[in-house]
Amino acid sequence: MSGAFGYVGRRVLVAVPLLLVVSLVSFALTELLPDPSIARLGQHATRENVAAFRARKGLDDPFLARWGRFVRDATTLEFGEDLVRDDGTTVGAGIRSRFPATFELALAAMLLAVVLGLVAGALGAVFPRRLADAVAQVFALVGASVPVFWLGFMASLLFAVKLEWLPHPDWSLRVIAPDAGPGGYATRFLFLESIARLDLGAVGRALAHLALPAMVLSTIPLAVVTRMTRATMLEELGRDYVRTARAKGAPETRVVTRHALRNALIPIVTVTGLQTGALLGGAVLTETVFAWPGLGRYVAEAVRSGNGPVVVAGVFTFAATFVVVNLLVDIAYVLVDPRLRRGGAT
Amino acid sequence: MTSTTRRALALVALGLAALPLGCGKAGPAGGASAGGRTTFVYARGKDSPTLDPAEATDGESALVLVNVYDTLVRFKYGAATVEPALAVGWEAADDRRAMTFTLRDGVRFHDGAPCDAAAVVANFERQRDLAHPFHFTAPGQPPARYPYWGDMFGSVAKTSVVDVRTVRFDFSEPMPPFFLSLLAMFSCSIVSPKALARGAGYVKTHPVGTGAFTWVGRDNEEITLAANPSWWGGKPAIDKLVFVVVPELKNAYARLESGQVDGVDNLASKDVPRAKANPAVKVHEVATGLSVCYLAMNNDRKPFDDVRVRRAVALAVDKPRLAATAYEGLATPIATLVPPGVEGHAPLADRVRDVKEARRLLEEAKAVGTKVTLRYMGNPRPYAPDPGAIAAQLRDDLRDAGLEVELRKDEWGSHLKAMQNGEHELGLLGWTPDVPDADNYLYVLLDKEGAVPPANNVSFYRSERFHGLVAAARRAYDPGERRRLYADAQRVAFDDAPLVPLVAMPRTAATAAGVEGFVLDPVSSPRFAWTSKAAQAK
Repeated sequence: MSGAFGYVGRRVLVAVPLLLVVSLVSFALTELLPDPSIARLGQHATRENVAAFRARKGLDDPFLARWGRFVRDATTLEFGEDLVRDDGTTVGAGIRSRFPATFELALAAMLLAVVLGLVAGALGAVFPRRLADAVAQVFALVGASVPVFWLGFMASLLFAVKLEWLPHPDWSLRVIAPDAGPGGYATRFLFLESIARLDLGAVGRALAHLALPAMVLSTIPLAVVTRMTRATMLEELGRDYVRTARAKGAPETRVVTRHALRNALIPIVTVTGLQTGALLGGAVLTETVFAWPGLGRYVAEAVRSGNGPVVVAGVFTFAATFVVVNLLVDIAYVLVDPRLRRGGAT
Repeated sequence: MTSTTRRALALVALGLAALPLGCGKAGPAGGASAGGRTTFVYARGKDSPTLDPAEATDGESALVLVNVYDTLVRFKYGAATVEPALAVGWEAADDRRAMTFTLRDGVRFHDGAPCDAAAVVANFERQRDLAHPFHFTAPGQPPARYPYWGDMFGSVAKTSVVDVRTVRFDFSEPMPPFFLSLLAMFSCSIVSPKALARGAGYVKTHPVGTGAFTWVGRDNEEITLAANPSWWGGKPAIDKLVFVVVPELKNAYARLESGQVDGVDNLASKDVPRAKANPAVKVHEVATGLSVCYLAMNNDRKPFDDVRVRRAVALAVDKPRLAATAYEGLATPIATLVPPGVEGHAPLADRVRDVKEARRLLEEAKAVGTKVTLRYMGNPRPYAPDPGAIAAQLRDDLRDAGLEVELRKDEWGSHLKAMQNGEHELGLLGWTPDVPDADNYLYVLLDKEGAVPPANNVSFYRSERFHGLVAAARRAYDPGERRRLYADAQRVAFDDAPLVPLVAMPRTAATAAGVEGFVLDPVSSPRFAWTSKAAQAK
């Protein structure tokens, strides 16, 4: 047990300099962003207003002084003040209030990708070069190739405009739980909290509003998981232990799910962890297309308006999430591979 | 089956059972409103940066402010003329160096404080006097003038209380002829002194005024207001007003069509014909747009320091085609920066496109074949819904006359900064005025005093003759004399062609068909005090 703690501790320690480098590089890149005084003050501002705004926000200070201030503010997880929403709101508060929307969207997309990907990949491996395999392969290829923003517009047009099966996503307490009242849903996890409250109406509305963006966001990880599952399952199904299991008369379902699939899981889990990074990147596009009030849209809007602290803090949060998810993936190895429990993770 | 599997299956079943409750055609905007109360959801493109009227300069902040606050005078609903609001009467001294306002009796702020002369004076003095306790200054920074006060109210020497219902303005020089229009601007909103006493952070986040709606709160970018039952103008018909941010215009319009919002603040040009054909949607337009788009030529740079080249550019641009194609027929070509309908507009006959004459002028100036760059913004603006299409046509028009034009696209902030610093040769830009008066176009965009980087006069035009006429118009109180001076100034600018005025763009918005009483104001941001929609029974 202490070995596991030591392992996690080492990974966390490695993450600290990594995140510092991420912050420095992304902070340097924000030098290329447009002047936030335009987004904050608009075209009608005078020279004096622009100068006062820049002085107030310390935008004319030397680069290292500004980065140092950012790192100092990052230690309190507040990341300084939002430059464009100029009402004293900290970037940390902005990120905390938007993170749940991104988390729930990413979770839904990842669940879709993993569940459908495992099923489609396993079917493809069990029935190679048959219709189910061909369909899964085509979907995987299309999913990996079609740009998310295009797919988003098309999916909206089809499901929300033409067929009217789904609403245009509107992830707001006003829509999901209109009766919650003040102080309701304090966690801001609209979907998870509506499940916890067993509010079926809210769960239904949350699912309906989640469906389109989650479907669009899941396409790339779905394609990757499907192909990876198919490839590793094909490999596993050809191994001796599978032949032995079949020879012993084990039912085919058990051979596939209990033996082959379980052994194929390690690379799938790895790829799922790595795909989380792609998913967060995809969230920037998906959230923009669907006006989803999450972290991705916050960062995308900040890039357009030159809101540097939001961009850096957003990248920082994405990086930290990526590190945490990969740490969880490492821990998941231990769960799926009993050999690692004995030898300790390396 | 393990207990974990059973739990997972139960969760999936719960989700599937609940899905039909949320699927299907979306219900009315605002969802269920208890007790038949009406919620009006209005979609807009961006969030409000600040809710302190003294600090706000943008339309998104103004949208909230004009619904929460009142001003001494206001723009008539749907018009550009002013009418009484918190002030019921006013009188100017003969020498135009003083003005007194009589306040409406019995008006109270949302927090219960009386809106008397002391409250009004506190609001103006905090903007005028840098040492005023309510003139908010960032820690460690010297006090800075508030945006509009420094620029437009510089002639106000002092405001004072005459009696509990009378306020006096004293001016250091004769007040501007359009002073009442300035007072109708959102920056002159009257804030509760009790709120001001709670400091900058409170005023920026909790607007407390006397207006038709009271502040409820914000959830990230979603702002909620509630009807003020004791508003002096009568309780608004809608109970709850919600502003939501939907950045993409097409996305916002799709939500209106599906009934998820009740109104959208702007329409993409391409959606206007579709919206007009849809019986479930009402399109609102201001007949003559106040927003103008122009092609700026940097008069400090070759070859545009030569008036012949500038006239050639003005002759080469095909404005009717531009209005018909890049603007989808929605915009009106203009000969002068002051659009029709605005006080001081001169009805000049525009140049008719003449490529031969343009080429002759360029040959005379030895500028044929000159390579120039036309900078434009990547983001749509109120006066340029598709900047790329506009820039492409301008490039083709100028190529016909003999100028080699290259296009350069920049993100809006970078584009504006480059233009204001004079880093361009040709550049696409536009303007939405603060007040509907020729001064707000001509003085701001073409006077020599504005030709210092970061400039609003991005053509860097410095005509003494033009300056003399505009300066004289600022002191002219006879409407006929003002019009004559502005007409002369516009003729001078037309002849010197420091820029090419392209089009005036009407403002558009759309609401659901069941919405009544919504009128798009030409100057003010949309006000919802007189808007109604059918109540939704739960």
